[in-house]
Amino acid sequence: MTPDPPVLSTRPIWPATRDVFSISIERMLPRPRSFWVFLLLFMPVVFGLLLRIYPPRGLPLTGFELYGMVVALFFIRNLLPLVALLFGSALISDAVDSKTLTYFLTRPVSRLSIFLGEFLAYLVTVLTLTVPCVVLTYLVLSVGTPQGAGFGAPDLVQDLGACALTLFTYGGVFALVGVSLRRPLIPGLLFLFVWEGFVANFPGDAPNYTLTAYARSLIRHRPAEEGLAELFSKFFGVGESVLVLGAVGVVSLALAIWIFSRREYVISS
Amino acid sequence: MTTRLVFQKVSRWYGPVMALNDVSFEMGPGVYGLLGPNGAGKSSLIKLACGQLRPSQGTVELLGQPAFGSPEVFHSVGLCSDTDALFEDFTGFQFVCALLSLNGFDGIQASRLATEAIETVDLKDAMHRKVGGYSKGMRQRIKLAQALAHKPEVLFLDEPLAGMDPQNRKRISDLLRHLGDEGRTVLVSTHILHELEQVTRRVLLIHNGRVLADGDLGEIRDLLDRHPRSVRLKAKDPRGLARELVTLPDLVSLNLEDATGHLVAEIRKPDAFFLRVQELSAACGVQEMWVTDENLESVFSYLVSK
Amino acid sequence: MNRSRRLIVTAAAISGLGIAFSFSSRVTGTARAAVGPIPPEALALPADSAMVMGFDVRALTGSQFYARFGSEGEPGHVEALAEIERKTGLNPARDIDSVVVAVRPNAPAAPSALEAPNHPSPNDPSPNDPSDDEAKAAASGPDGARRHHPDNALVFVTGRFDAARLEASIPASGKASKERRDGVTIYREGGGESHGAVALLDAGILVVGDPASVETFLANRSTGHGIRDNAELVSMLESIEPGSTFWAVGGPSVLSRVTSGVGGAAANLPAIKQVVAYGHLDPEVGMTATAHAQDAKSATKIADVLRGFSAMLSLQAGQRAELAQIADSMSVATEDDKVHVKATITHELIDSLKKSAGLHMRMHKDVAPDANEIQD
Repeated sequence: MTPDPPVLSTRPIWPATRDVFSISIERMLPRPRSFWVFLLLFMPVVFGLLLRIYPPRGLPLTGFELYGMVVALFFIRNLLPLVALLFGSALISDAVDSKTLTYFLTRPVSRLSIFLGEFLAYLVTVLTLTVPCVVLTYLVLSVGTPQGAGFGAPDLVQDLGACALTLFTYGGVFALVGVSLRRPLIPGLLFLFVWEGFVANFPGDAPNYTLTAYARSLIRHRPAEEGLAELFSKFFGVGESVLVLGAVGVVSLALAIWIFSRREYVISS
Repeated sequence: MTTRLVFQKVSRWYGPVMALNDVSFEMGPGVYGLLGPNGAGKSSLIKLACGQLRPSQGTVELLGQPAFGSPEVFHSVGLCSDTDALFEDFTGFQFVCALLSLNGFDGIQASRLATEAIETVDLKDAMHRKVGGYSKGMRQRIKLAQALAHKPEVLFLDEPLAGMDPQNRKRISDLLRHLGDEGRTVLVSTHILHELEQVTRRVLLIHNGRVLADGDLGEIRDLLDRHPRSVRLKAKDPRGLARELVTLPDLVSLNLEDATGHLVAEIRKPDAFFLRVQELSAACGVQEMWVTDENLESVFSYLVSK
Repeated sequence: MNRSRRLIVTAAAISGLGIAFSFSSRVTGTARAAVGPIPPEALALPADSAMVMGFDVRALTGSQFYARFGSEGEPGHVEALAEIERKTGLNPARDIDSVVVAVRPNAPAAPSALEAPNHPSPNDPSPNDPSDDEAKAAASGPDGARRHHPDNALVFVTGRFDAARLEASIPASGKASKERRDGVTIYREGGGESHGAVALLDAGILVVGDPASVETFLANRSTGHGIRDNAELVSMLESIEPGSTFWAVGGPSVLSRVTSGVGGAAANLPAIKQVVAYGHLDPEVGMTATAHAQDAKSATKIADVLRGFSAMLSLQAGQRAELAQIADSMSVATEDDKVHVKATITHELIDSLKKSAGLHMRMHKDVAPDANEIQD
């Protein structure tokens, strides 16, 4: 038997992306890292339950306002960027470290498909971990309160959109860091806690250059800022925020794909 | 002959370290051996051949396309790399199916081809176990299965027999020979000459990034036979033994080490020498014998200096 | 590939059920359904409101009418809006969805002088007047125990407010006191004759009015009382055509004040018990109003007055042709004690009215300098 004549064509982008996604999601979602991240994301639910079971005296906030605080401060400002760093920066570097990138690079799929498949797997993974936690936090803090669970239902949906956009944008940025640097974690943490943590509250136009200022502007029912933040915090319109976050995410992804498509990965035994 | 792989004046270095130096060769259908000691540049050559690395100089063509940046050729190329990396949480069957899906096979086709390939490497009983629990030999075989499953025209196998038991070595060697007979191009790298002899006669000898010889294994054998080997002997009566051996026609040199009392002989025809030592072993009390430069490293060092 | 799929399906199920539960309790639970054009969140408006009116700002700004006439305005109008946006992040045309204004009647005759009406009129409610009963009912009702200021319009605004920025902009004046209660931030204007309050609620709701009315709203919000307690008002609100861009309903106490301030034929109109009016802006401006008179005879009289007014407009058509078109666009009909008035005015007609009004203004300005010269 003689071998079939060679087929010389790269697979179409979307079917190939789907197949890469199918493999990557299985290697990304049911992993210990996802479990630990889920525990972190689940903390507000536990916190909410404790508050409902043992309500503190004289708490000047409604359940819905507490939920707004959790979404704006815990999810959007701190945890989701961190989750994006953990997963986004590891998109390609994990495959390099585990030496399994070879299996993708020696198949008839373009590097664009490999990257998109990995990024889609990232998005589905982090959304699978995040969305139930946000919804449960909302329910725990609103069911049975005078305002009830229905009061902020439209806000809940908007918040989920804001979380998704935050994860998309930070994921794109950290994916770019991940394909550009060999050790992306430390620069990523510096970016999150130094740049995003402080500059967003600087006076003047400095917050314009941070992602968190746009992300927090998406939560319209967030609590008022206190202290210095009250004086300096800058907020943007929803349209402007969505546009900026979307554009930063797309541009970062495009750059990351460009670098990944050209880069040589030396995977040695 | 259909040329499937062409290296033209290819050099590759990692920073200041040169991995391959001005390598040129062509390969058509059949099984080729890539023989060289550890660190000779075998893996770099295979990575260049399958487009994982970009040549620093020269060109590498695989199925008529530049090997780097041409994913389309991988419909017809299979790679069993030397890295011990698998999708640990997948079963063997899932692992092979997943990689087949990347080649564009639908679920039913992938399932059929994966089962065939797993049967070929005799892993059917363990195909639904997680590969994370496989032994070294089983991991090697599942890697081989994913490389074979889509029936590629060109196969690159980097140390494919490492960790396998003698029975599976024989099975895989037979399989590789059969693939070569089918008209596929199979490049097998190893540092063990004996393994290669069971698979092919065509060999590319590589050392320190340079191709030293490219030809039939018989020619390599001749080269090796012409190369004087060092044999170290420990005996109760080394002087008596020396007196007997010194008369042999193919003896190059004979020394008695004062410090150890060992006799060190350099010989050209090892077979005749070993027969004579066997005859004298009782009379001279031969206790131990080491062929010190049997390893390829010393052979290649000899070839380089030649 | 099953484990990840199972996890995704589980997460989607939890999230989907949670969201569905939230929305279903919005409709059936503590968050109540709307009454006519009043959104559920505004149902806490005081039950003793004598007049309630509203604007669908989103429909207004998205209308052809707004596109044609909305950009025009007083000089400085655009700059003022820009200033508001700069300070508060609020662009009214972009961020406000709807406005509901509830006007509470002046306080009934009460022991406190503070609650005496500022603008007494001959038509003020007498002890036997139905409006007095209404005021009493309001005073004894769930939100009637509080005193309220004579300037008693309560404005309820929904939209997309940048609550934090809006809050940040308010204390900058240095004249407001701030209080946080039950998740609501309340600002009270301090000092000055006219004092008001602003309550920033969650979910993009702003309530502005006199402090007593704002307190009434907040109290109603937590107890579940409000406009639903006034069956007459609910009935009027539910008769408004859904999708109306603007609407108003009024009871006798406010209407009597309105008619008392008008001279001429309107001053002699029989008393009107209720008015329901609503309308739209596209493709032409249309308005429907229904007035409830005391009886059929009164209704006929009101209709006759309106028809007479229409005839007068027609007679002036020789001087201004647009007046005849206005008269033609208006129809008046009676049905027992009700008077129905419908009017439809095309955008072109409004345009020509504006042009002729502009010409009149210019003529007036041309005359004014001469007058100054005489004074000099």
